[in-house]
Amino acid sequence: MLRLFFVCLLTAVFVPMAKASTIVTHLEKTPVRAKAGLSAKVVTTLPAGTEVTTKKTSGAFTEVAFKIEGKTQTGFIATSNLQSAQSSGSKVSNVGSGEMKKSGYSSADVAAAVKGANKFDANATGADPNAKTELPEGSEDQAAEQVNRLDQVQPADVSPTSDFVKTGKLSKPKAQKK
Amino acid sequence: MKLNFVFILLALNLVGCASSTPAVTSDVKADAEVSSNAPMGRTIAGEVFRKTPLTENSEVLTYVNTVGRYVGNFLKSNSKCPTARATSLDQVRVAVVRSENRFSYALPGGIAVLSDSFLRTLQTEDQLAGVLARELSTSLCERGMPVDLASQAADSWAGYISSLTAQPLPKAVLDIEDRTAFSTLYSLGYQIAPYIAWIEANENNPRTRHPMGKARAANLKKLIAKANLASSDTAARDARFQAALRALN
Repeated sequence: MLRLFFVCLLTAVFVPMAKASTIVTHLEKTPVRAKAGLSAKVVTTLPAGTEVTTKKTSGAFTEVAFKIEGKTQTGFIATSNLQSAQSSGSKVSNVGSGEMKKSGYSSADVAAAVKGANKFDANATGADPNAKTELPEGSEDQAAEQVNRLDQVQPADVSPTSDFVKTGKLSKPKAQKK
Repeated sequence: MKLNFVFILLALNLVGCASSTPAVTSDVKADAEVSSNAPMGRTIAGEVFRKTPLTENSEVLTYVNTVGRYVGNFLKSNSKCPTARATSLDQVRVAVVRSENRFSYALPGGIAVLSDSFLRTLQTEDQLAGVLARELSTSLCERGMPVDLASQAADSWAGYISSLTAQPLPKAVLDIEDRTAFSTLYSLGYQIAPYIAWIEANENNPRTRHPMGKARAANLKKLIAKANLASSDTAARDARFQAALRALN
């Protein structure tokens, strides 16, 4: 009877635990943030020589504050992308050449960001698995221009009374009676 | 004997609490902290567009973004995800990029990316809406990414996306995406059968993390048969989709 009790107890503990860990994996929103306590709010590119103010360091990342269009923002950046400058400021180095991670992106943010990008096809995008991509000169501007162009696309009205909905006969179909 | 059963019941009760409480806490915490991931999506989109630039055809971009907005609006309104609620409808974007390879994927913050070659594999607006429902729901809700892959991204963005194709999506994620696409299409007045036909046609596509298995298609067909839906008139939708494709060519 005691043996039966322990078998039941072990089953009762470990089977639900296994199930619970699966669920948590899917529910987990931001592993990087949760793990390192990072805020993934700010993502931007920083040109070479940008002065940033370093704050706390968390693992391989350092929290930095920087100004864009007069507004002070904060984010995390790989510590290896920083080089010491005068007083409390640090400079972002290696922008525009070398490995992609050194292009000035806040790596911690990208780590959190790509969590949602779960259907990438590396072959399709032509990305180099060894991360030795050389960025062509001026490509930062080119990328920004492309993103701006996407932002400027004006979709048509999609309200229930719009031409898009009416012309397309987009109304919820009724279930047929059997 | 009785005492043993009391212990067992007690143990089961405690385990039940342990498995449910952290999930609830995690959701509440995420809701309070989370903000839109749109800026991140745009940063990564910049990287993507260097390799695979946007199509020059503004007519196609306008059309797919209109369908994307229609789908995105529904997903946002009906989503329980904090990130989806934090993302504005203006941030929902569909990028059509130039590439000989067929692919579609989601970036954070409401950005779906389709290659022009991929778009040509679709035949109807209903199929496009199904694909966008799948991609945008992932994009807006940012679910399913294992921690180890996210860690890889910190070291190498390119290496990260390379590793993604080697790891299929968990079945639970696929099921959620299928059901999301299904309910979105139904609620918006699209037909579901063409989307399933597309899933079947892309079976065994090596360039996707979605295994287009027969079981998935069969399961969806069963759900449709159960719903016993009346078919809607797709002629006008088909016509505008084909017009967009012609413009792309």
